[in-house]
Amino acid sequence: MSLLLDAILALLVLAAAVRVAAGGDGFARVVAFMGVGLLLGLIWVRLAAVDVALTEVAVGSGITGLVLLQAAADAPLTREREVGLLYHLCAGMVGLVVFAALAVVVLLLPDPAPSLAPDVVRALPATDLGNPVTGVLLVFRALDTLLETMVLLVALIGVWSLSPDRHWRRAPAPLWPAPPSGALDFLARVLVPIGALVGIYMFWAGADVPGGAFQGGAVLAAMALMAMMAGLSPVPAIGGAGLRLAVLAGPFAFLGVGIAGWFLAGAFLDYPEGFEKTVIIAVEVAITVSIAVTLALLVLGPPMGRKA
Amino acid sequence: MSGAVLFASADALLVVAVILPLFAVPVLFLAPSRIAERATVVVLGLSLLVALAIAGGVGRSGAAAASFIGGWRPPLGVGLRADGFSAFMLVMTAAVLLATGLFAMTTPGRSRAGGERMPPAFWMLLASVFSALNLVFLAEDLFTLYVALELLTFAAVPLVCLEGKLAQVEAALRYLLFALFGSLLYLLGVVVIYGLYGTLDIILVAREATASPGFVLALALMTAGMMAKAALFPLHLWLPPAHSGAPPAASALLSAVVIKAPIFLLVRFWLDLAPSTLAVAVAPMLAGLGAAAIVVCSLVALAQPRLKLLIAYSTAAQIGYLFLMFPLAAASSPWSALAWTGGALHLASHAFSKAAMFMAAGLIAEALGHDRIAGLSGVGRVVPVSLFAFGLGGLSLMGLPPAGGFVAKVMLLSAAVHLGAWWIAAVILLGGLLAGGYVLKVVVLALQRPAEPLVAQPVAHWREWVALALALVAVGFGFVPLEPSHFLFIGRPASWAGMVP
Amino acid sequence: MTLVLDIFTVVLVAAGLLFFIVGTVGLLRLPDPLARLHALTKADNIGLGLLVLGLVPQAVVAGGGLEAVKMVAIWLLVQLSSGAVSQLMGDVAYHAAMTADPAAPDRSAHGEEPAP
Repeated sequence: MSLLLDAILALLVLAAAVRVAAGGDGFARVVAFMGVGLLLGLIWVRLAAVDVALTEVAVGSGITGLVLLQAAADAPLTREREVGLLYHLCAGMVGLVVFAALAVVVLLLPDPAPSLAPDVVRALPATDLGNPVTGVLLVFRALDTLLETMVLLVALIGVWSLSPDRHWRRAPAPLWPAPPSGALDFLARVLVPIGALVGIYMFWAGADVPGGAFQGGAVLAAMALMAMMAGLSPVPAIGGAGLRLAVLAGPFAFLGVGIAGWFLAGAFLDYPEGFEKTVIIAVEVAITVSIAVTLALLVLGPPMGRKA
Repeated sequence: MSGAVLFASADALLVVAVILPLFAVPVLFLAPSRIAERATVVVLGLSLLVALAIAGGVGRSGAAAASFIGGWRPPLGVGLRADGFSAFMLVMTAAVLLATGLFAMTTPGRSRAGGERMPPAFWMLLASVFSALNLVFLAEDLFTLYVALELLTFAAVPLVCLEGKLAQVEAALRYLLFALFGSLLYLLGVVVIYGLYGTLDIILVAREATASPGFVLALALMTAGMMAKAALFPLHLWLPPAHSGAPPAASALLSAVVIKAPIFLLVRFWLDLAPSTLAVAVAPMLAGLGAAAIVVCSLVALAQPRLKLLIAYSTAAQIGYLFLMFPLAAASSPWSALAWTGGALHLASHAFSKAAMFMAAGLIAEALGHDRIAGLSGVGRVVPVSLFAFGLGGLSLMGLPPAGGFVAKVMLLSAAVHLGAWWIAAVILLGGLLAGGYVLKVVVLALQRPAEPLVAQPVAHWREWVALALALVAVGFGFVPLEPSHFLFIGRPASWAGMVP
Repeated sequence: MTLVLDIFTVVLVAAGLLFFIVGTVGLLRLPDPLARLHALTKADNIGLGLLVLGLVPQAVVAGGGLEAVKMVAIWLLVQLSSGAVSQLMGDVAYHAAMTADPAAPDRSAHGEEPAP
């Protein structure tokens, strides 16, 4: 029975992926792409990787899909922008070769696979956390996570750099140019508070069960965007000190904690003994705020010259 | 041990090298741009001192420095490690980026060198590129390296389109697609390696690695990814529009150092990670592509109508030399040490000369208002210092004495001859000849008497001197002794013991 | 007792699935966007409602009342979002149809213009 379910999921995700690659209307392809993300999320759940599933659905499908939808609306695909059949064939061949090689190798991999998971579980009590994924992200491989938050920040800088100097402190264009409708207004008024609660819960629960700063931040970003779409809150200007501090808070609070670790615990990104969980939660609060604000700003795009 | 002592220790310096440049970002976000710009240059200067301190420590102790993040050792935690080669790359990068920063500083009452758009963005991206490069040179963990490559990609790509012209945005988008494709292939390879060995630490993986099909596939994927990022022929198509379209300061740092990060990683993969039998088998393929890059891209460079495009194609060609090094260095003979030193020297002298040439080309374009080669006649009279910097950089590319490129090519050439790799020797010589062709084409024209008096804008003299200083460093490499460098062998894997000088 | 609950579940879930099938057929076969939306909302509202209602006893037996409350909350949230989103999509489809063919009869259910 579960094999049947898995087979159906696999076929559906393949079909959706083929739809994305097949060409034609950009809008339909983006919708198919979001479908791929949702189906992949289900597959991750089936593989018992709930943290990955949440991230895939929230960031991979939701936020990314929103960015792509905007792009599809702003720059519709025209015939002359379509690439040729030869190009499609080449890309398809490369994809097939890589797929076939990977498939063979994955079947050849040692079984049971060598894994660090038992080591992580053994070392987890030292961190006072219950979710091993959070343990890996914020303790054992904290450097990677710290730099991932920097990557997000740099991506935002890259997006902002697309607009000219004179707009450096202005606001991005609103997502929803049409006048707000009653249905949207109602949806936003009811859903935003619930969604915000869900986002905060996802981050808060992340210490012990699946969830965490990235997933929670993505949900919070979506709620902020919905409030802006419904006209409940204005699109902020990117020059505001508060907004800029919110963007910087996560990466640099994390960096500050890392440096404090040198003096208090003897190594960069080491947490003082007995306060591990407190410090980790504090860092996660800052990261969640920054991720939420940064993701929302990434969707809004470069400032367009309108004063907020 | 107290934190203060640790902070100044050699091991902690590795972490400082990675995080110090990032501190420029909040200053740039919050302070007025003029102050923030100066603060960033100060940070760049401090980072150079840190790199020098690391290199000094490695040289004095004769062993690699290592640091473990959060006190967790691999395989659970991640480590940073500086051997002689890493330290060499750190110092080279820091020097070039500091010069780029000085070149890009705002001249009072003038347009900004970093592009007409978003000067704070230029400086933030510069600082992020710096941090990412240092992490590439120091990280000991394959996934940390992935994060470093992502940071590098997202910081480097927007530099291409800072002026916001349509062609630049297109070039940046193409660069982004190639770079992301490379990242994806690399990540697939990393996943396979984790599936095989259950660890991502380079030293731990190298200890267990055999030439099994899985490991070969992983290395193939990672190598293909790095080739896309390094613009090795035939994946070089993104490079010329991106590097030639960017503002001069951005072109200089992209062509001089950013492109070296994936090449550094290829050296790590094939000479540190792969079993040596496998490396010997694969290296000729890499060298073959390198040879094709040298010949094809040099010929294309000769035909370019615009100066910056010519220099960009020259970069795509010069990258080829670094791939010629692989079969020579992997041969595990005493001559390998010389080839290896020559390759490293070529990498550094190309970085300095190419940065100098892009800056000089930027100044020439600023003075004339265009960079069409046909219209360069007589420009030597307008911006003589810039032209001199361009010529000295070109000297190194051609491999004429006394420039660094000369010594590097002599080392590679003698190793190739002694190892019987005649075709490599032939390509090295042909490449030098072609480089001579495209450099002299520009210099000779620029020294001619112009048909009609040139109308030129004045350029800031100190920016010309920055370009010249870089070119002089490239020439200065020509005075290093013609023998394998001991420093570059510090902390290299045990399998290298046979070829240590 | 469990048998009765099982029969209850099977009947309601089967009925819910029937609504989903009808909704899907409608989505595929009906002629214009507004009609298709009309078919979809049936699947979302009644179909999902019946599924949830059918599964509630199973959830109570297996995991206690909290699981059942979660499922009902999911149904309510889907009601809210699908209702609002079909309104928005209906607006867009209606205006698109009107710009394409202004002479077409007014097909919107309530004929209401979006607030300015």
